[in-house]
Amino acid sequence: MTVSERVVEGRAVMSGASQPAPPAAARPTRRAVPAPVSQVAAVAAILAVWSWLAATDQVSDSALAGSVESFARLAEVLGTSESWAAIGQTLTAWSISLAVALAVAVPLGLLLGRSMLAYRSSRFTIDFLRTIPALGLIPLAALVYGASREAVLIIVIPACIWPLLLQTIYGVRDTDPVAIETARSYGLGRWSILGRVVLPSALPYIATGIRLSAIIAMLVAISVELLVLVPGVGSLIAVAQRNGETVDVYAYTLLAGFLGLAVVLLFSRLERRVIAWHPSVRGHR
Amino acid sequence: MNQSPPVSAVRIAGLQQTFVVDGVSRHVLDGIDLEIRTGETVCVVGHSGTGKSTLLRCVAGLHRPSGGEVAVAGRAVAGPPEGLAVVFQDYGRSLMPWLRIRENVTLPLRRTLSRQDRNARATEALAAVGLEGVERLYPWQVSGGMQQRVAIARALAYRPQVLLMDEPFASVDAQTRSDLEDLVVRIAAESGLTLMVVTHDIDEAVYLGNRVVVLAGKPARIAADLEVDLPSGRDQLTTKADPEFLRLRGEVMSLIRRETASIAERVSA
Repeated sequence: MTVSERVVEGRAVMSGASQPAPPAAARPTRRAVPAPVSQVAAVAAILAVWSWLAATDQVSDSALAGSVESFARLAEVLGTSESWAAIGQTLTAWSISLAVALAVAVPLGLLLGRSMLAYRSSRFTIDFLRTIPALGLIPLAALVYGASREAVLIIVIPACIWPLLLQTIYGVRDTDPVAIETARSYGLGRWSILGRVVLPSALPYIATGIRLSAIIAMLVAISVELLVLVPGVGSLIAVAQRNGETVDVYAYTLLAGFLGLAVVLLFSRLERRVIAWHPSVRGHR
Repeated sequence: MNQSPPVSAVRIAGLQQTFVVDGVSRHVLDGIDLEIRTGETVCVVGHSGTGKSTLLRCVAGLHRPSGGEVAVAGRAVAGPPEGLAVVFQDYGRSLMPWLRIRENVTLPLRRTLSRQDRNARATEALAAVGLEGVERLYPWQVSGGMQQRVAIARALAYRPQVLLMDEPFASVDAQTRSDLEDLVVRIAAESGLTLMVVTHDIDEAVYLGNRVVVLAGKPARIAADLEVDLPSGRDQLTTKADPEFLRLRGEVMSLIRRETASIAERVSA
C-alpha cells in the first residue's frame, strides 16, 4: 500500500464518490531500492521533520508535541484499560458496520449486476445516494440518536455499502459471457451459475470493495466518535483536545492511525489471496 | 449397446434465425434441414459470419430459434439439452481460471456424482486426452493446446451423447491443431459419440467428418451435404494425400468459392 493510494482513498471517503476500481493489480516492479528499505526511510524522514519542528519551536508546544514524547505516551495509554475499552468499542462499531454492509451490498450487487433492467432502473438512485457525503450527515445522526453507537452505525453502514455495492456490480458485469454460456450448456441452473461462476469471477472485485469499505468504516467510525463524542478512540482524541492535553491528542491520533494501518494490511493480504488466479496478478506469485 | 432402433441424434427442421440488433433485423439462417445420425461426425463448414456458430448454438439450446424445430435425441430443444456438451473456441474463457484443472473438469458433474466418482471421472477423461498429473494445476498454468484438451476432457467426463465443437482448434498453432484433430478422430471412433464440428477450415472438415455440410448464402442455407467416403483410420499424411480427400476438398472449396464470387457480384452490382 503506497502513501498516494491511501490519500486517494481518504479523499474518496470525504466526497463519498468512490469509483468502481478493477482489482488492484500488482504494479510493474521497477525498483532499485527494496520496498522495505524505502518505506522505513520514508517513515524515518517524517519522524525527523516532526522532531525538528517540535524541537525548534516553529510551532507552539501546546499545538505540537514531540514525536518521542507522543510515542512514549501511546505506549503508556496502551497499558490502561480505558484505551483498550475504547479500541474495543471502535472495533465493535467497525465490524458491525462491515458485516451489515457485506450482508446487504453483496447480494444486492449480484442481483443488480445480473439484471440489466434492475441495474438501469437503480443507477440514478445509487449515483444520487452515494454522492451524499457521509460526514455531512453526522449532525443529523447526533440529533436523532445522541452520543450512541446507533449514531455511528447509521453513518458508517451506508458509507461502506456504496463501494462494496459498486464493486460487486462491476465484478458481476465483468463475468465472462463464455464462462456463463459454458455453465449453461452443461445444464447448471440459475443459482448454480450465480454461486459457481458469477460470484467467484466477481470475487476479486468484491475483495477490493471489502478492503475499501473496511478502511472507510474505520475512518468514518472514528470521525463520528470524535465529533459526537460517542465512546471510542475518536472520543478519546476529542476529550484530550478539550482538556488541552496536547501529548494525549497526538498519542490517540497515532493510535487511530495504527488501527487504520492494521485494517489496510489485513485486508490487502486477504485481497491478494482471493485474487491469486486473476490475470492481473498471475505472473507475480 | 443401444437396443432401441437408431434415432437421429440431432434433427433440425426448417430452422429460421433472425436477429434484431439496434432496430436492424438480420436474417441469418433460412430453412435449415439437417439430420445427424447417432455416432456420426458431421462437420459444418462455411465462411466466417455465415451463421455456422448460430446453427450450433441453436442445437445447444443457447439461442432460441425464430422458427423451425431442433431436437436432440428425439426431444425438442427448449434450453440446453441433457446429454449434450459444447467445446468452445475460446478455451481460455470457457475454463474457469479460479478452479484447478480437476475442478474445471468436474464442475458439470457436481449435481449428479459424489466427489470420489467425479474425481475418478476427471482422471479418466484427462488420461483419454493425454493429460496426466495436471489435475492440481490451474488452466492458465498450461499451454493453449493443453487448455483445449482440458475443455475436451471436461466434455468427455460429462459423458454426452452429442458433442458440439465450435471452431475448436482455431486458436492453437498448426502442430497442436493436427494433434488435436487426431485426438478427436480417435475419441469419436472409440466412444461412438455423435459429433457436430463447426469449422471454417475445409481440410479439417473433410479430415474429421463422416459428412461435410456446406453452409452458404445470406441468409445461409445448406449448399451441399457430402458423404466422406474415406477409410475410418485417418492419418494426417496418407489421408490428406488420398484422391478421395482431394476430390472432396476441391468440391467443398469450389462451392464456397462460388459463394464468394456471387457475393462479390452483388456488391459490385
